[in-house]
Amino acid sequence: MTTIALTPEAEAFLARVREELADLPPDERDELLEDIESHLAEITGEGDAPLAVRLGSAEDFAHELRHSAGLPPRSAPGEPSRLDLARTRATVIGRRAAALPRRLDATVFWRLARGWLLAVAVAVVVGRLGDTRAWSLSHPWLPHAGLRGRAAFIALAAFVVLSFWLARRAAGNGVRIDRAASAVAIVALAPALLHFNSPPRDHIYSYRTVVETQTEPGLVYNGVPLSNIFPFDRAGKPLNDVLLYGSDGQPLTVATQVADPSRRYLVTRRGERLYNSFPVRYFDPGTQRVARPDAGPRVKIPDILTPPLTTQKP
Amino acid sequence: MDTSQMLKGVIDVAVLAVVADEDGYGYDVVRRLRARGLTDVADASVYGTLRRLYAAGALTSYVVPSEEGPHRRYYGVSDLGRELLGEWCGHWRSFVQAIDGLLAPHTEVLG
Repeated sequence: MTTIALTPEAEAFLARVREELADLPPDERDELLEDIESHLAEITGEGDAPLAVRLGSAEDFAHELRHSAGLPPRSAPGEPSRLDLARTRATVIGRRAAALPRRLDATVFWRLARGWLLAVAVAVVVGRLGDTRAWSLSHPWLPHAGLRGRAAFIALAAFVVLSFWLARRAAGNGVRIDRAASAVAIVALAPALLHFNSPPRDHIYSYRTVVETQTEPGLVYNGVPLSNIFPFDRAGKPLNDVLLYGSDGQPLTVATQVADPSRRYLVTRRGERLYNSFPVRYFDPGTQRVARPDAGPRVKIPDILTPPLTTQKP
Repeated sequence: MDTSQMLKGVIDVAVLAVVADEDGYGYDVVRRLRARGLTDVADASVYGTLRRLYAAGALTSYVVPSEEGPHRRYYGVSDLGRELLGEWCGHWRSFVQAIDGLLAPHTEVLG
């Protein structure tokens, strides 16, 4: 049997006729119903009068059909079997599902959504799936097909207009193109859902780029912030209160975002704290005393042959 | 007067005659019957009659797929159908003459 989109009223009518003919051999019943189904599809497209007015009740219709077809009156009138009811229900559900695309086509919502999905389809074809060339970064719902800003919005609007235009044309000879557009839109649902489920990878990359190019406050060694520096002299003796400066004289500091009360700072006569003295030492909790002034990493200073350099300044 | 009861007796020949003119699908036959003046013909009667005549071998049937809407089952008249139609034509003449004869005096009175 061919599947035809029927209105809910026509479906209900057909289902009742089917119930009335439940006692007939399936082949015979199906052949009769096939003609009735086409008939219903045709007459419901013609006018607005209820089927009951045009055809009478489904029961009378079935009775007349049976009578004129020379078939015996219903053998077991009354309750249709459970199996028949289940079958009827399954048929109705199946029909509704099959008619869904066509019914959707008629709604403004679908025409809008289809416009957007067509833009998605083009964007996905032009760019790659999950690529930034397919989607706008600033407006994650906007398929932009490599276009930028306003051009992407205009392209999207054009697709929506196209969708409405196709739907209008479908009333004439353009039904095939209209259906093809719907099919493309339904296929484009998959990449669209995928996109919303996991945004393009470049989103993450761009986020990382931002992090990496940010200037870390304080000293950085191979990209990793340093929290301390431990100077030693050539004999392996740990040094304290070594002040470090850059080549243009700026102090090399390890700043903490919040003033750390347990950090031991060198304080100038003018009351300024120096942040560039190393190693940074910490007081014992609640005291102003550094318990181990020579604490530091264990290093092994090799035997040094080069004679020491002496400096003139004090 | 409701002519649907009268139609029941002649629906077979009416349907055969319409299909003999030109092949048609169910709703097409309904419309052509109505266009020819049988306005009371019921859709269900026509469909049932088509199936019965087809089952009896008086009609042939074929399906024409349609891009735009439902597929349509067309009916055409078979050789047996033409024979039956011929027989009916003979019976119908004498039947109508008999009824006309019965009604003639009353028609004048009423007219």
